[in-house]
This record gives sequence, C-alpha cells and structure tokens, in this order.
Amino acid sequence: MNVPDATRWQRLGELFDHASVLAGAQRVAFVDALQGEDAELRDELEALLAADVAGGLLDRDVHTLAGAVTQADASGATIGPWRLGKVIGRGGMGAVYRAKRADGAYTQEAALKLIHLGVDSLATRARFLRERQFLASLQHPHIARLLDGGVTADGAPYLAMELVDGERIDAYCDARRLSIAARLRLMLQVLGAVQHAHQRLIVHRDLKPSNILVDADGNAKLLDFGIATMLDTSGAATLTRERPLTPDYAAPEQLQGQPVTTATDVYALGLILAGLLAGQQARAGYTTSKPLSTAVLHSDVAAIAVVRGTHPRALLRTLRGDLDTLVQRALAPDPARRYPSAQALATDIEQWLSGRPILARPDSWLYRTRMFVRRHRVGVALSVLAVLALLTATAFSLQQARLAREAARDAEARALSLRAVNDTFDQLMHAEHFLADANGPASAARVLRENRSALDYFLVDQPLTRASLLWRNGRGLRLSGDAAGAVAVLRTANEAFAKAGARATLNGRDAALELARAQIDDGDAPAAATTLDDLEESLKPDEVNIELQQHAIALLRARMALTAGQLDSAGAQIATALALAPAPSGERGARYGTTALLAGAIDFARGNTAAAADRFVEALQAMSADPHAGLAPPHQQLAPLLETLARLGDIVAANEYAARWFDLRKRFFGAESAQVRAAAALQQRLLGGDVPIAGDAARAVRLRDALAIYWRATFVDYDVTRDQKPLNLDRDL
Amino acid sequence: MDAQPPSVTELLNRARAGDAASRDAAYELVYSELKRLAHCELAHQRGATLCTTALVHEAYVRLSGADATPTDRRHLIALGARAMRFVLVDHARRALAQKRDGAVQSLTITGGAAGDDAAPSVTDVLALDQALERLAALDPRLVQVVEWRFFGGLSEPEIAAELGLTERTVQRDWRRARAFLHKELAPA
Repeated sequence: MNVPDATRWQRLGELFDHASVLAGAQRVAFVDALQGEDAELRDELEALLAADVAGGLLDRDVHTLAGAVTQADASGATIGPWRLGKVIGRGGMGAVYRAKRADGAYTQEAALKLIHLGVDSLATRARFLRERQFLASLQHPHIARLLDGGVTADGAPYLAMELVDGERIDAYCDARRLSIAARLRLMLQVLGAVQHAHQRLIVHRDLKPSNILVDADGNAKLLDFGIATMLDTSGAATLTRERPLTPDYAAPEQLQGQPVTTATDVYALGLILAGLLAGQQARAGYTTSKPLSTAVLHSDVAAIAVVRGTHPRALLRTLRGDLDTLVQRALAPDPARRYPSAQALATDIEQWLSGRPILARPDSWLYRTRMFVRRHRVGVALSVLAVLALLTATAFSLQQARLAREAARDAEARALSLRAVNDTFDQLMHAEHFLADANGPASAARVLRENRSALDYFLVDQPLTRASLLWRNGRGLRLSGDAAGAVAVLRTANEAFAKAGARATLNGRDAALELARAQIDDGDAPAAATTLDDLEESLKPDEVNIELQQHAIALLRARMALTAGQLDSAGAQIATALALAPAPSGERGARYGTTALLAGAIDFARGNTAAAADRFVEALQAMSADPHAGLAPPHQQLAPLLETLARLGDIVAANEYAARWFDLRKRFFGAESAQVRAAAALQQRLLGGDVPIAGDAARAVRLRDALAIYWRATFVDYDVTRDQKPLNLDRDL
Repeated sequence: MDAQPPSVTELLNRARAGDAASRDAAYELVYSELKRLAHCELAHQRGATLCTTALVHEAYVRLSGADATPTDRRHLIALGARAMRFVLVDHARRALAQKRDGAVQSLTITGGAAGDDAAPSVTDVLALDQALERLAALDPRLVQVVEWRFFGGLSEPEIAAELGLTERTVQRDWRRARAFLHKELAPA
C-alpha cells in the first residue's frame, strides 16, 4: 500500500515542504541525504516530488472538468410538452433527441435540440424567446419548421424542430447515382429555401450536407435555419469559442471573424454544390486557381463518375466551362465577388439546366472589380456594401439584419425586407459623402455605374425591388454629382415602377421627383418641366400624401423659375409651396425650412434684402429645431443667404462662412466639382466688394445668430472629428 | 400556519441563537440550492466567467439575506465548493454509466485543441474524487484547501483569511495536496 498513515504523512509532508522549495540538484542531494529514513518513505517522497514537477489535472480550471462530464443524456426526461426519446445526434452545442408530445394534446414527433449554453439574464432569455417566435414564422416546404422552443427549468434553451426522416443530401445523391442535372435540380430546392429565409433576414451560417436531408420522395429539407444566429443573439458569449464552426464549410470571412452576411451562406452553398458535382475530395482540393474540373482529376474520378451515372470523360466535359465558372463565382473568397444571393446562383443553375449561357462570366466584371478594389482601397469597404445592397436586396451584415429585425418585428413582415434594404442603402450613400478620400462621391458614382447593369440580371423576378433599387442607385448618382448618369438610371427606374403598376406608390412618386431633380442638375430644364407636368397630371385626387407631392412639385418649379430668372413665376410657385408646407414646428421643420430657404432666395433675387433675411432666419430656426434634419446644409441657397448677410452689413461673418462652405464642398465633392466652383464664385463676389451694403444691424445679428446655431448643430462633429453622421443632402432641394 | 417552511434567514438566526438543529436545516437548504445552481452552471459550461465563488455569492445573497455573519459566509463557501465537487462527480458517474450502455456513439468533446494535453475525461473526475477521499483520511484540512481553491475558485489569500491561517501555510498545504493528488492520479 503506498498510502501512508497519518503520522507518516505528517513526516512526509514536512520533508516535502523542505525538498519542494529546492532546485533540482539540491533536491536530489537532499533526498539522498535522508539516510536515517526508511527506504519506503524516501520512495514516497521522490514520487511526491516527481508529481510536484509533473503537474496535472489540478493545474487546470475546474471548468475543463465540467466539459468532460456534461455530455449527459437526457433521454426519458420531459421538457415542456415533449418527452425525450433516443439521442439522434450530437454536436458541439448539445444533443438532439427524438421527442414526442407528452401532453396528450395530439400526436406529434419532433427533433428536440437541447443546448448546453446559458441564457444568462431575463433580457437575453426574452430575446431568445422572441427570436424563436420569429423563426417559427419561417414556413417553406424545404425548411424544417421550428415547432416550439423554450428554456428548461435549469435554464438551458431547447428547440423542437420538425422531425425529418431522410438522408444527407450527398449520401442520397450517391446512393441513387443521380446525374449532374438531377443533382442540380435538387440543389435548386435548397437554394429556393435559402433565398426564402434570406428575404426574411434569416441567415443560416452553418450550411453543410449534414444539415440538408432528402426524404424518400426526393424532397430536400434544410435543418437548423437561423439557429446559429439565434443562439448568438441570445448573448451566449462563449458561443464562438465552443461552437465548432465546421471549418470545412466556413467562408473565409467567417474564419477571419468578419461580419457574416447572406453571402456567407452563398459560399457554403457553393461548397455543397461543388461536393455534389465532383465529390468531397475534389471539393476539398478546389482552389481559386484550380477549377473544379481540374480538382476532380486529382481524386478518384472513375468512382466519382460512376455514382453520377456517367464515365470520367463525360463528367469532365460536363463540368468544364460554365459549371466551373459557376462554382468559381459561388466560392469567390471576397464576398463582393460572389453570387450576391442564393437566387442569383439558382438563376444561373436554371440557365445551365435549360441549355442557356450562364450570366456569370469568368473574369469580366470580376476582374474589373478586383482592379477597382486595388485602385480605390479607401472607398472599397463602403462601396462593397453598397454593391451588395444594390445587387441582392438581402445581402448585408448580420448585425444590421438583426437590428433591422428587432426594429421591424412588430411591423408588417412583408414591408420589412425592402425597407431595410432601402435604409441600408440610404445610410451608405450618405456615408459615402463622408469618405476621407476626397474622391469619395466620385468613387461611389463609379461603383454605382459599374454595377447598375447587374440589377438587370439579378432581380428580374422582383420588379418592385428592382425599381426601388434603381431609384436609389439613381439618387446616389445624383448626390455624388453624376447628374447625367442619374438621369439615365432614374428613367429606367420610372419605367420599372410604371411596369410594376407602382407609379402611384410613395416610392414611385419619389422616383419621378428624383428624375426631375437629376434633370435640373443636368441643366435640362425643359425635360425636368415635362417630368413634373407628367407627375402632376398622374396624381390622383385621393392619393395618400398628395400634398407632399404637390409641395415637392411646386418647390422644384420655383427653383427652376428662379434659375431661369423668371421671378414672378418663382414667386407664385413658392407661394404654393409655402401653403403646402406644414407649420415650422418641431419635427417637420426640415420641410418648412427648405421651402423658406428658397423663398428667401427668391426675395433676395428680387432685391428685397429685408424680406429675404427674415425668411432665412425662419428657415434656419425651423431646421435647427428639427432633430431629423440632421446635416441638411442649405447648399443651394447658401450663396444668397451669405450675400444677404453681407448686404445687411456683416461682411466679416459672411466671408467666414463662405470660406467654411468652400472647405466643406471641397471635401465632399472634390476640388474640380461644379459645387466647389459655385462656392468659390461666392467668395469672390463677397471679397470683390461689389455687394451693395444696406446696413441693417438688427437683422444682420438675427441672421448671423440663427446661422451660427444651425451651423454648430449641423457641422460641429464634422468640423471637429469628421464624424460619420449621415448627410441629408437630399433634403436640400 | 406551519405549511410554509422557515426561510434560510430565519433558520440562520435561530442557529445563531444556539439552535443546532436549525443550523443543520439551514445548511441542508443552502446545500441543495447550491447543488441546483452548480448543476445549471455545469450544464451551460459558461467557462470561467461565472466561477463558483460567484455562484456561492449568488446563493448567499439569495438565501441568507444581508444579515448573515462571517461564520455563515465561511460555511456557505465551503458548501459551494463541496456542491461543485459533488455535482461534477455526479455528472461523471452518469456519463460513465451511459457510455457503458453504448447509448451514445460519439462523445465529441470540443475544445482541447490537438497538441494540448489530452482533455480530462470522465474517469479523471472520478479518480480525483477518490484520491480526495484518501487524502481526507490523512489530512482533512488539505482537502478543504483543495476544495476551496480548485472547486470553489477562491484565491490563497481568501482561503487564508477565511480559515484564519497564514498565506504561507495555505500555499504549503496546497502544494502538498497537489503533489499527493497528482501522484495518485498518475498512471501506474
């Protein structure tokens, strides 16, 4: 027996205390010197000292032991209304049981997933349950439904899902020796399901063959949709560490910890597709420089061909060309170069199946995008997002999706997706103006132009989404200074709205107004006038928000008349607009403000400095009071406003603001832009001393103070930190 | 009505007044609550974020209210660490029984990256428990130090303060216990 009794242990302990603090050689000497002790005790001491050096279990955290023992089996237990049967699967997150309803309400079987993760607080628990409800609304014939979910008495979340009796998709295909075409058709089911979820802003994040089962009737079913996201949302901080990310199927951005988007799912789908087409080995061997048809040559191509009901040469012939390109596009390491959506991938598969050329080209725009990225490092991060939003209507970061989802969960689900996209894009466009790069807007314009054509490919089946995105695209072009490009896109947008029968919607109306604005910017007043006349004619008397449209029309007409020097006409139009603008109070201040600004500019043009000054003060105060006015710089009317200030006598302040205005415009639009030339012309006029001074000190002070307050509220962040506040150039008619 | 059992605070108050039975009842109650908490804790593998100390603290606050004495606190810490040990062993026994039944084909334990020491197994947990029993026969205080430090997550100064020992003594106790246990656990 090597366990000593208590007295021996005391002696042993004392010797150990001495020896353990000694260094190696001294330690040996110390033990050797213990001649008076019995040999057994010495052996025990040596064993203790060896164990002291070796270390072991106790040097670890107790939680590593916890990891060893928690793979428990809860079979036979009852959770909620479910009685658990056998374990049918295990993963890093927990175990899956076959379960039956135990409350006798009705017979139902489910796959119940019991998750070994804490739901730490009431808030995260509530969010988990909310998220569960959202997922339960996901209904698609090829998605296994979430039936129920909750939190056990122990606080462990569980999810009951539709029980699917089927085989893994890859095993299913091989067992039945399905042809390439049959495999692609099966893949279309999967893609349809994924697209359905993406449109509801639900990302899978863990797509892999074992998550796709095919039943005996050949119906594919996707498991675990949104579960990964849901668990993440529930705030389990340890999730990323403990969840095995199935590295085999993870997209590059996932491995790098970048934001996960719908494009991440597209990548996983590409890998699944590659495996189905050419086998697992070829899938693993695929690289960007080695197309699938080459990779398959490095594996057991004969065996692969057999289970596809063909022979090697025919298989290679089938894969080469379009299918190679298709896989290459789906697996592009850069999410922006991937198929932007499951739908886009499905479209190309359909093209291939029907013998038509696929839309993806091996290099053309991919290559150009790459070149573009290389040329414009700065703008790319934002531009890529803009492109994604444009192309797909769905691809944006999970974080945004989650926020959008939380914000809009209570709103109608149908409007959700589109609105989120529009908002995202809006934000992006505004953000574009804040790129540190002086060429920010110019870069944005180029991206928008280069990728506009993609809208024709990818959204043909969603005419309304496409029309809205065209409109946004056009507006983006206009805001970034490309008026001619904007006119072309906006014309298409208006046609698209008309074709979809949606001219009379809010978006359709905005598209028409936007076209008029672009035409004005482009210097084509007659065309703008026609656009506005058409719009006015098509307004229906009972249309919602009709005053909004009428107001915008009058305002634009007033602006055109002012530019053309038709001051009487301008006066009449602005009177109409003022009548339609709401009282200058609180949140609606911006609309009144822009109207009053233009009214002031017209007064100024008529030589009525005092009236102009009063209008400008009103306008600035209204806009300062509107928390939503954001950064709405009175760009168009700043020249008359500052000239009015100079005429009233405060030429110093007028010069000061003119210089700041010039700086801002230079940063936004670049030194060569028309906007900067206009600001420079103002500076010259003010400095040239040809401004007739009326001298009205009281008005000058009022105007200067209103301008100071407005300017501080609007530009302080930008001036100081160049903060990324959205710039509402749009509001400035 | 006697239907409502007395609360822990009440029991602790009575215990302080000299009622030994109440004290036992209080700790019985606390212990079962701690075991429940430790079970949750384990089931979630929350990692090092919520250590046993926090768990004990949670139970302490919830069960005894603010008027517990330092002695109560010490007992609670001891109970918390003991509860953690108990729950681990309990889980390990059940997991082992399951494995024998062959109910589970793949006990994939994530974490424990390749190249690291092998992840501890269910049998390691049981072996540790048995070794602790053998140590208890020799020197119960060492077992207490191990429980508090390893299972309870207390630091050496904390243990020293609670037990009224010097830090040096606690360090020596820990080193002795650690060597003994590692020797017992080492493959023959």
